[in-house]
Amino acid sequence: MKKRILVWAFMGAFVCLLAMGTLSAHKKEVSTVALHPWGYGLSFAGAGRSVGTMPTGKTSYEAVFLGSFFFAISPWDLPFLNPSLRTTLSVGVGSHGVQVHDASAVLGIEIIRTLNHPLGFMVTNKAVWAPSLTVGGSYLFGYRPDAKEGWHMLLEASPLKLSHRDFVYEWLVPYAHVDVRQHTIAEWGIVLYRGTVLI
Amino acid sequence: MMKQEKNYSYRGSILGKVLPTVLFTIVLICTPGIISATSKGQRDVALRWGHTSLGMLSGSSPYDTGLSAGVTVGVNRRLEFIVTGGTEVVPVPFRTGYVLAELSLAVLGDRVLDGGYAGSLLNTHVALGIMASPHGIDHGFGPSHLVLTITPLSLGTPLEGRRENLMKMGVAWAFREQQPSFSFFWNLYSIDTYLSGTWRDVSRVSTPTP
Repeated sequence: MKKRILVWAFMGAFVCLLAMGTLSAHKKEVSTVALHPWGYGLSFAGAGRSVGTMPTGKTSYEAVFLGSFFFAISPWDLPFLNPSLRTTLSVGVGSHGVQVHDASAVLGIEIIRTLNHPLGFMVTNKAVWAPSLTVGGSYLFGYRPDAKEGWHMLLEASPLKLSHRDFVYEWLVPYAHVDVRQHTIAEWGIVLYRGTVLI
Repeated sequence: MMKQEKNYSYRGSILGKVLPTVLFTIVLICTPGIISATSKGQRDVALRWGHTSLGMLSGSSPYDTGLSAGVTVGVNRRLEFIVTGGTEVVPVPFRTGYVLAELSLAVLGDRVLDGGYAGSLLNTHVALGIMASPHGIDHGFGPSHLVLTITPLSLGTPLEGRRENLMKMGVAWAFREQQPSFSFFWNLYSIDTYLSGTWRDVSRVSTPTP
């Protein structure tokens, strides 16, 4: 029941955002439709989680290095609350070898899109700063016997997101796979770099 | 799963005692000169930040992820001096880290040219450095590794004000272990933001010499 409510809440929020975008475009009589609405790209991340207690009493941790491939849809260029969708497949390199780590589908909201920002030094050309929040579902594959396999909620915050006309840079994006039933974080990590080519 | 901790201990040899002291002395002697030259506006100076690996350090997890930050200072057309500090971020933030001082050589072409002209936009850098990190039985902080790296792709120049360094990789020689060992060392990317020596600071008063 809770899952259904959650799914309907996500769908409702997304429909509302679509409606807002359409109305906004209509009201201003200016096209806010993105010139390049589709995207694909690669990202690299470090993920870690607690795996138990060592004989010394200290908590031990496992780390995985992730390479991810994703598709993204960003249909509008709204100045506020600009929505996007992304589906991702991540492959992990760790002590268990190379394996599919997780698959996810998320809804992202760019809180603001502005050219007036202090992060211009990070890229050569003029870029839009578009800090975003992301929420969605992820499936963690059981790459180890003690891994928390199953569905999780994926939360992300991307403060360093700079968008060009046909390319998007993101650095240092913290994220967490949340076990909604147990109210715990199954895994967390940081996306070092995410590059999206818009087409 | 924790990696089995390496058995570090001071070596009772020339390598274990004299070499680190000599290298660190060289670094200490060189640094003020470079900073002095920089303060006179003769050098390009950049802030660097990016990814780093930490697998060569004792007490780190396999496949952990770190971030590094530091300063690069241009010594001449080809050479630059780089000091960076790295720390673990995932899975345990700030659990371990290092300080690395490097001398880096631009292989494919000059980094900068006289007269306010940019050097090679694409470049490859080879660097030799000494790393200080927690080591030994008591995990004391001191010189621990010699690091030889290559950065195959470097995009941008000081004159532009920004440079990206991609897929830096190399070996770290843990010379103070009882049994010295080699580890793989790599940085996925780092970004240099130049504070001086950019097109803003340079006026074209002379012609470039080839």
